[in-house]
Amino acid sequence: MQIIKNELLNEYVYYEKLHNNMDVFFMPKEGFTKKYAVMATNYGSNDLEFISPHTKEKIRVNEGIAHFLEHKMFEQADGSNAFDEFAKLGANANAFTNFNMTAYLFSSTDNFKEGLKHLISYVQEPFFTEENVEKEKGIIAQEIKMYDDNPDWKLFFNTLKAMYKVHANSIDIAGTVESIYKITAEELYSCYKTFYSPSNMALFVIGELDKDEIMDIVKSTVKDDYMFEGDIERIEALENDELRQKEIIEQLDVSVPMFSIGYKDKVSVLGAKDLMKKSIVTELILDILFKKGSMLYDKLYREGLVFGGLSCDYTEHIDYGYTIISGETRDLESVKREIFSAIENAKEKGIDEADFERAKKKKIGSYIKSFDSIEFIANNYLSYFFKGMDILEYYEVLKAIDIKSLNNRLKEHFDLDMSVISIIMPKTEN
Amino acid sequence: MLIPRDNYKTNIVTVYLKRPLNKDEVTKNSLIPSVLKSATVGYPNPVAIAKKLQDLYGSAVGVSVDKMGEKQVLSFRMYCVGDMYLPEPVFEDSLAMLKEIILNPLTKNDGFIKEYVDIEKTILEEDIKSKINNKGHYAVEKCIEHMCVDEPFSISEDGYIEDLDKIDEKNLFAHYKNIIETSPIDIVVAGSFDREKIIETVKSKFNFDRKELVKIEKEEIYFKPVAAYVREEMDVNQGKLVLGFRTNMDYKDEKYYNLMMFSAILGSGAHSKLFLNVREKHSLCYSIYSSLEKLKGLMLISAGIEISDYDRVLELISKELGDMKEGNISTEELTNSKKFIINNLKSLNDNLSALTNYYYSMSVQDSNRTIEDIIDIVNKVEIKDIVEIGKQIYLDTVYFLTGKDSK
Repeated sequence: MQIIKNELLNEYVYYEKLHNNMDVFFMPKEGFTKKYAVMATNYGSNDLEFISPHTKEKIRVNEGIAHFLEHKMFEQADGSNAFDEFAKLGANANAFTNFNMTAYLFSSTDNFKEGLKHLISYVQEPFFTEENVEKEKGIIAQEIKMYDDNPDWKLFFNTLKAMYKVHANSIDIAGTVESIYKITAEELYSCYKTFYSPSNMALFVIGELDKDEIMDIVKSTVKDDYMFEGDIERIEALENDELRQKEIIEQLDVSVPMFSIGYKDKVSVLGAKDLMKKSIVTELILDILFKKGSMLYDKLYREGLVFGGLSCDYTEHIDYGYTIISGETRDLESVKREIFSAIENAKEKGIDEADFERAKKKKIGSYIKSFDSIEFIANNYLSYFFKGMDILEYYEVLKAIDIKSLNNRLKEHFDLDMSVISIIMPKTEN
Repeated sequence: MLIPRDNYKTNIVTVYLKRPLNKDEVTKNSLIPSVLKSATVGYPNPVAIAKKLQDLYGSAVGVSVDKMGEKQVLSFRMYCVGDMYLPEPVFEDSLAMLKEIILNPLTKNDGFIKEYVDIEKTILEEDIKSKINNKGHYAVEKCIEHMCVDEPFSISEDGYIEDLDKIDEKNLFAHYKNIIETSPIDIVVAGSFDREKIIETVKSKFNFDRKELVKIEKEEIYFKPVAAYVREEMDVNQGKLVLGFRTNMDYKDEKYYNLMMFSAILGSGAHSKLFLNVREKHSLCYSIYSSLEKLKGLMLISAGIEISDYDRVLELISKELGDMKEGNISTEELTNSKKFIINNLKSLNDNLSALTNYYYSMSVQDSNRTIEDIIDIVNKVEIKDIVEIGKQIYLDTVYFLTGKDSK
């Protein structure tokens, strides 16, 4: 068993790769009442085509299947629901699916060990029948429709659609009502056997717990079903530096026009190498140029151009990366002009040294603060792990970043040719 | 109030001002925190404030305006990293910043700075207009508005667009002075700190000039309504159904926890009757839950459904509710819901913000029950107590946000 330490935070994580290739992490957290575990597979809505590690057959599945599979994992062979057992234990359970990961989690203040056994067991015991698959379709259709009425979600997905021509990023995580109705039990099993193999999964346990006891439970509960060596071959559509379209405009029942500007990473900067550094550098730039305290923010605020400020975020992954800057405005043309000119101006003059130092301090602070949430630590640890990173190394990477890397990244990433805009306009009555 | 927790890396200090929820002042109250956050004597513009906070390793001061029963609560919350994790201490300076924002606003000719008041008025107006963007919240708020039309509880804590015209930098400042002098004020400090020193530090920074405090009436909660059915049309893909009930239950009464159990068994979490029947058995929705407006004695059931399923869902909800009133509750449902509630109560310990809110809400309710006291009470609830509570729950309003031209 390996120990990963972080001196600044005074935190450490134990790590072990089990005999069935599953990665297990345990982090002791003294003084917390709640204990938390998350079991995740390196599999999300983006994984639509792959080669089965068992049959070597090439498989293409329906959109939204990873999320559908997540819903169906709760179904048990005896007709019960995985939530039932958690309810008996007084534990709080849930699951989520994103583009690259599906996670099953629970927290409890009592009966944690029983809960952990149950978590590991039910995720390893699929039970899909034509009947229970049919039953789920109505529920998921309502979930999709709920998101269809959510303007923020629409705005976000239209930005992705504009940026990506073929990459699965542009497809809704839950799929469409049409695509999910085509999903079958057989299709679910073939995804399960590939991606829910212990060789593609990881577990993170955190709380005031005994390491050896936890490891004993884990080792005696995990199964070897469907294990394989090496990695799953995922077939990805080859995305290049072209955009699908520069602009997507949609009308919805909203009060003010909403906009979202996206900058797509060029193929040349993608990959696992230096991913954490690239991500932090980009976030620092966003902080300095667009967030509270920046000249642009102040101007937009004073001129009443943007209500509630700008939100901006960089999303990094091995095979894609993008920045999104969004807000609400009644004067889209002026806001666009101000944002683009702030970027061009910064490229020309370079980032201000004092701004850089403050942004770095703020990042250090928010990194330390995040270690007060056990859920945040566990979920993010695994999400980073699947991308080949260790969140405990974040501080060292951050400290080493210099202003030159910001200026380089600024010029390379914020390229007008790589930018798109998504707009949601209020519905006009005819 | 002090909440010492040495295992945290963060400190949170919250200053709460309590006002009666009142149409005459609601919009001014809603505007004041954001105006205060724009400019202070020491930091005369938003950029100066933001830069100072960044320098303190990203300490943050957040403001919010909430409705707690028929009270409007203004809160100012400072978060900072614990000094022991940083190369230089930030707690004292962060606290000073919180004080600066609340008590030392930049003024001119006995008024706030006009520019910031005007900007914040526009932002508030847009915020109020944008409530239609979140259909779920919008539907709940509209249901309450219909239910409590003649009661202060129907007043929106965000305020009203039509009031904004009458507000200027001078009358807003006068109102600010008044609320600082007459509002009940609470300060909650949570995190890892020196218990001996902290009270002195906070006291020395926050010296409020006190006058006679404003009177805040207790909520009226006893009603036996006849159900009303309301429909509103909007361009939506999914219908939002909200059922509002009067529970005739006073939050000060220990029996309130029987009601809490009633609502939990009916509609909290994946083991609840509504989830298992309306969602899992009949596949009619993704989201369905029951919640309580504790201080006003309301119970609300919300669901996102196919518009054409309105009658069926309503029928299923009333069947589950009827079942509960008739005592159709299993021991398993009882113990599962108890464990669910107790686990949530115990988990409060692991979230400083939630813990702060909990202690403040208990103080608003004039209660000194600790989390442990409540766990004891919940543990004692029996099925017959829950059935008994069911008898006093009356359906008041059924609100449906539906698509256009759907009858």
